[in-house]
Amino acid sequence: MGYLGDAMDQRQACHEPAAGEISLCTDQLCLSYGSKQALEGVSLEIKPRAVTAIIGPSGSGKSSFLCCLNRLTDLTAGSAVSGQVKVGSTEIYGTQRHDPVQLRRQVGMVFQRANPFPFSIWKNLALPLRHHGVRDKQQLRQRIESALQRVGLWDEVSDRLNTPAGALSGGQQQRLCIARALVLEPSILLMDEPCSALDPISTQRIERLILELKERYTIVIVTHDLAQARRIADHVALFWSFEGKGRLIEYGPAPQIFHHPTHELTGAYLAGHI
Amino acid sequence: MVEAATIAPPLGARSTLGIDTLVWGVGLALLALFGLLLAEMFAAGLPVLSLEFITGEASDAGRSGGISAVLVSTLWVVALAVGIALPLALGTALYISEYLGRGSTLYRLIHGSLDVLSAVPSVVFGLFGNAVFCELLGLGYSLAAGALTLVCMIVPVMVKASVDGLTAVPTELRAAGSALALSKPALIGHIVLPAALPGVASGVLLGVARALAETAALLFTSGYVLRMPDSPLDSGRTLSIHIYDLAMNVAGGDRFAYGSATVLVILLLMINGAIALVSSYAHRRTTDS
Amino acid sequence: MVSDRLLHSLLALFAALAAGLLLLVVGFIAQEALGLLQQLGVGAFLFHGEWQPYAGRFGLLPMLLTSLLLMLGAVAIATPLAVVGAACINFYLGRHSAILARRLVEIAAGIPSVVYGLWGLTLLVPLLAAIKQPGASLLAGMMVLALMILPTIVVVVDAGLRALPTHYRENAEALAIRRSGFVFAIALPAVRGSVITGATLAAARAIGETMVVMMVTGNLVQLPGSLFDPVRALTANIALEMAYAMDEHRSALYVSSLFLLLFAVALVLTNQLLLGWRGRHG
Repeated sequence: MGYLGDAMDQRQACHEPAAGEISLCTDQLCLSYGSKQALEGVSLEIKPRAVTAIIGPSGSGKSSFLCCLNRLTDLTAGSAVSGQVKVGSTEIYGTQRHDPVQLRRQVGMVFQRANPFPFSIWKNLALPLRHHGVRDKQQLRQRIESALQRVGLWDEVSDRLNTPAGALSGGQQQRLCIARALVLEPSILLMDEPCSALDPISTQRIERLILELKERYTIVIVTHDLAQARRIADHVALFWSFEGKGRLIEYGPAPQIFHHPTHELTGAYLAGHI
Repeated sequence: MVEAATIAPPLGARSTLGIDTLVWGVGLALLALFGLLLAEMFAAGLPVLSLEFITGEASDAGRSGGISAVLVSTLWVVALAVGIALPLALGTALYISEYLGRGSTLYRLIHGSLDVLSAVPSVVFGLFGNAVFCELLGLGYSLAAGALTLVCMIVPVMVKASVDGLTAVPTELRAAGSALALSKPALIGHIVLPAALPGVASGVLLGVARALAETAALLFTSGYVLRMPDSPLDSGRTLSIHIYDLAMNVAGGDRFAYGSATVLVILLLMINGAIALVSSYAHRRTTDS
Repeated sequence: MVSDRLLHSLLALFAALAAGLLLLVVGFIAQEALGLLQQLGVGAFLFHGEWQPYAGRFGLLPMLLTSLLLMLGAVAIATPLAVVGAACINFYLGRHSAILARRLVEIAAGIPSVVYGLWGLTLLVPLLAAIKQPGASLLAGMMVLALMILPTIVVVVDAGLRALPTHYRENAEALAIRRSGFVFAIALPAVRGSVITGATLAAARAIGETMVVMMVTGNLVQLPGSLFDPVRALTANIALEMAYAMDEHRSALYVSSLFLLLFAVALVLTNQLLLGWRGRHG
């Protein structure tokens, strides 16, 4: 299947995208913060319209990897990226100055802690839409409603869109943040441990939501929770830290990783021995 | 009872009573001293306060009448100084917090120069203002020249407070904004500035307080004419200069000096209270979500 | 929509302007001072005792010494008192009275120097005059300056004490160390840096202060012989004579302000170097 980029011929790691799909792949991706290297030689191709779970112990570079995919690394002073990240046909760290703003419209992101802006629910969703040129009140309303419906929040908040988003419960806030990422209609959704701060019931809701969303979106989710990866992932990538540098050690379809891992570390990690 | 006997006796059981008494004594004496000084000022100053004192015209070199002209001059100087300093300070603070890394040389250069600027004695600013604004720019002794001099003095404290407010904006909000593909100006305008507003507001209030308290830098820039100014190009006397002049140069001016000092301190207390309100509001807002 | 490039350049311009203010101030003061300074030489200002501006004699020595003595005296009086005061607020007062005390200190720190001058002139000077005439003196200056800078030092040291980890106190309690022992052997040594910063900032304020010294020291140009002698500080001299000074006399005042400027700046830089050094080695 060629999950891992072929070691002999790295050029092969990124295939031409199939028609109509926005593909996402990395080739020999390295990331460092100052003198500290966080990621080393990560090459993988994310499958479209599926859930790819990134798992691995703390400090193995999972979240750093996610931040490379929408250039959020730009926010950290001193970070340097080498290698390739290709979204569609664009090489996002390429030599020609690529506008990260355009990229982030295609690649949405949801964070570990729900981070609504300190505004009303409505304004949280309207701000990105307005910023990207949606002025028509009718259209705004329609897109906000559909985003809220998609995350199952519409029925809960439709009568109080003007109340502060901070007043929602933790689970609701996180679903609002997902809705906020969806209003721009990205094709790829990055999720950085979206359930780690939530209670089991809210977690269940969000997991159901992720399974619905994968019909339309390519989802990459970082998770600490192996059970969660088992429940929702179609593909799994295991990261490991070697002397502080994160590396990809195994990548494949979920059943294969969980039942017939090839790397000995994978087996030990999944069995809870490490 | 048996256990009690096994506890070791105190090692060299020195009494600390002496030290404790000293700390209590010094601490309480200091607090009492400042309390008494303030009480003394209010006792001498409050009886002077009246509607006539606030709105009346001064007569007899300030020994009688009111301080309306002084208040108007003060308002001009403070409003102009803060009005000019605000965009400068806010722009600088935004540049420092949003565009410069904390470790960069330029950051240290700007920061260091503002630190040093805030240590320059106010009388030196007065000479600078006299040479540049009064003479070079031809403003003469005027409220405008005084205000421009004050701008140089209050920019450092306003920058510092604004930078503190801006860097306290949670990184999660910035990350959320960036992830939603907001451009940098939009991120600053829609997310960062509204969230940093309390910090910026307390910076403005600190600037107002500094400007109100300043005396030496204004002696030879805005002057000390005791007359109602018609425009900021007129010379005029601020509250603090009025206090100085009454105390030093006007025999029998003590009573009204204390009256003016009371007005000045009440104004400063109000600003102090406003700063406390703003920061507790900011604190509530960040702990809510 | 404002473009990123435009905003960046605009803000950079503001920052350059703000950072340039210092150069502007130093430059203009130096420009006004340098002519006379080159003509007469630094020695004519620093090492001569006669200030007779109309005779072309600009010896700053008595006023320089006065300024230095005032600063040293004020810092020496205020620092120990402020440190003990901060310790009292932090470790002796109850929670509510500590909040009240901090409020009072903050208010005192914000009171304009001219009001301290007014207090000194109307309350302290008559008291000292009862001991020894004329009352307005070096000692009065030191005391009122000490009073003025004290709250600032308390605020800085208090902030340092509050930032100490609470486990220091818990550990000390567990080791059966008494409160006073904890305060003087652990807490205060641990905030040495804050004490240095507070004292240096206070020293810079004291040497630059104009209103207080002008109102309570008597303004007589002479080498101070005793604490009760009336004296004149550099800052007071500038403020008193600037109104009518012309030509060389005016330039001489700019020369003295150049000295003041350099001195205050040197104090602040020394503090930062000390802190930086402590940060690496302490």
